[in-house]
Amino acid sequence: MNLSSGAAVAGRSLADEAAWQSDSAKGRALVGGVRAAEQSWSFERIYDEYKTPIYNYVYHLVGNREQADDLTQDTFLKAFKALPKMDANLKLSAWLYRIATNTAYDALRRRKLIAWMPWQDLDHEPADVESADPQETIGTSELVHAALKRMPRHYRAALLLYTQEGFSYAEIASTLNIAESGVKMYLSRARHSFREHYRALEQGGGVAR
Amino acid sequence: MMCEQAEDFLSAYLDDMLEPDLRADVSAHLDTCTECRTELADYRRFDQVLAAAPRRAPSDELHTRIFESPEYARLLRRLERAEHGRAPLPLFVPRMRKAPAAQQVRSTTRHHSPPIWRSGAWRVAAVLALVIGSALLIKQGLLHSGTTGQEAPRTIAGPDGSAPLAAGPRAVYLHDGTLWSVLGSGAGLAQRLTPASVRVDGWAVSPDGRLVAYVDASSGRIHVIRSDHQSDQSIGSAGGLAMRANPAWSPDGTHIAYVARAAGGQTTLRLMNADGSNDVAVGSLAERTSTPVWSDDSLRLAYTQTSAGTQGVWSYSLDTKRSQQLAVQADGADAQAVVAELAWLPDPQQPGVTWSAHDRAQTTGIFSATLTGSGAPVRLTASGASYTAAEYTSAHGSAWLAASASTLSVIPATTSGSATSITTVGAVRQVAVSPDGSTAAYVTENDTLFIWSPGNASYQALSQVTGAPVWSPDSTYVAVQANGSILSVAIGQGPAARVVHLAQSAGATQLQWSPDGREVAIADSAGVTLASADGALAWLVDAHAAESPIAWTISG
Repeated sequence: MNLSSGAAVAGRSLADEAAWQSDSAKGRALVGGVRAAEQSWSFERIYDEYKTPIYNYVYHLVGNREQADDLTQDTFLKAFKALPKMDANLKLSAWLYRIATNTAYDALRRRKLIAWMPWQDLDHEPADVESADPQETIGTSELVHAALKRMPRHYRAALLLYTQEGFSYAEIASTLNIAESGVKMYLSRARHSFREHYRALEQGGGVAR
Repeated sequence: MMCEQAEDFLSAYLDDMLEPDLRADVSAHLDTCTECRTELADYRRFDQVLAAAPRRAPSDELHTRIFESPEYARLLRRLERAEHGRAPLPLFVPRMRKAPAAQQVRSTTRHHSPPIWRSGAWRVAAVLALVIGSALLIKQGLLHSGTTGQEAPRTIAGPDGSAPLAAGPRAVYLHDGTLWSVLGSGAGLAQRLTPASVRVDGWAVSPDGRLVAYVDASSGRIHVIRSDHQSDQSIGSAGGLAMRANPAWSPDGTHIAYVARAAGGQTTLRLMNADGSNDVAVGSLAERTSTPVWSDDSLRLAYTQTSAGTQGVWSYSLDTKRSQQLAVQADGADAQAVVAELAWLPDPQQPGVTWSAHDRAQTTGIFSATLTGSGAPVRLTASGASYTAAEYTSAHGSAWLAASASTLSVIPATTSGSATSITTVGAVRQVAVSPDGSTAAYVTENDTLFIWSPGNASYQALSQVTGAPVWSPDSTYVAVQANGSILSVAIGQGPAARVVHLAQSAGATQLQWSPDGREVAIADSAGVTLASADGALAWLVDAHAAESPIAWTISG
């Protein structure tokens, strides 16, 4: 037991190191850009660099375009407000995803409160692509969207960060504010859940719960 | 290995995140089990499907919505104000410049930063470079520290090899068995303070704010860690005995007292030097022992012990190494009563303690007892009287502020003084005395916040108040939850412009001012938020609810 926890610690610190190095390389590239172009680093630069990944992530978290627009707007405005007071150790990328995650969670929570309905009824609402004969009308990306929508939100966030954003376990832990052992568990349950829902949809649109 | 077990590990197996032994077990199972092989193949396939799924991009309109929003305009104005010296001063602020009139005319569809902002880019870049440069140096220091030179610095890596947390006042709180720390004057999100291998239960910040002592519930050991996440160590010789209660630092920072398990399922108080040496049990055994309260001179401890359902009050002297029972019951007239607040009287020449006793949601009485003399506790309140709220202050010779149905009284904690009181509009639900002892903030049963300093009339400050008022360290502001918001009320500055909105809040909320009074940490059901005291900024630092009160540390 001691051996295994020791190895886990070593694994994390290496992953942290890699994450930090890639972040700082990106940071330095940005600063370099400033020097070359004189005055190009700005809130706009951050928006341009991160708008698509953040929007895509939020969209898959909430499963709705209009809401993804609103939440992406909220995410960037929150980040801009907070950025002037940023911590010396700030990892911009993980930090933005964390604000986006919290903003989306808040919205999902509000949606639950406003609708006065159990969480599952909303989180698992039928995808807009679901139709009478899913097998013929639904393409892979729609199946992905529908399967994601049926998953519990925490697992969904972990799976998206890992597969779509290429985050390490350490980065997911930092973004979702959980321990790395929690990431292992989240990803395991996320994959299991995604597989169940995807296969059910693939085989005829049955709603796996 | 059975399928049920293997299934749990398939995901980590795919990511190569299993220990070698476990990996070999899963691998052996896969060789024989078609079902698990299919599941693993599915995981691999779905990872690829997800990775290849088309990325959704926002519409161009979103740019306009953000950069031409009133909120963005407000942000730029705030940054401009901050630039002109308003506190609190951010780490960096883009320099604002009045744009020439001609440049102010711009098309509404233009998708660029206003010139007024872009002029600050150099400064932003400089600070960003500094931040990243410093981080780089710290990191390199970690990787190559202490290999040359005679006085190699002690390890500066954290328990998991990570860099020290950024210096400054940091808010600390507990959730999921971990202490989290967030820089008060920065927008960094909460970072792990304690190592992943421990499960924190009780904890306390040292008097100078630079260390945190905590109980690791999984081992029952006391640890001390620097508030910048460095040098975590298990201390004390009584390994595995600490209970799930907060340790108590002596005011001079030299000792730590804590509650420990003892023989026969009993509990006892233990005391050790802050470096873990001389760890000894003090006092007697009891079914339950409370976290002790230190005297200001760090020479005595006061605590309660419960046996056979009755709670008594005790003291222990570090000089004589003896414990002494000061009261057999918290309230001599009520065997069920328990101590709600316990404090040392201020006169070191005549040491004694004072406490409030609580039973069935009422304060049943306030008492004091000296260590010398008869030793019998003195009831400071009328026999049979009960109170809806009571709080002690050591200011002005020490006194209690106690509220009954329609009266708020100042009751001197030593028998020499006489009580003063005012009539309140309805029963008082909560009362908080300012740190300097000059003023009381109290909330009545109809949710109104009043401010009162003895000798003056009280005045109404806010309505629809839902939480307890919390004073700023300099006694000039009260932060309170009212109608879904956290508000800061300036005290004694006239009726106009007294209230500043700090943040939104959801559900039950607890507040804690930073030691320098510049930020307020807010914990509610939505998570932990830091707000600047001037109302300019509020940001969610943690989407998990705190499971403990928030405390502040200092590091660097």
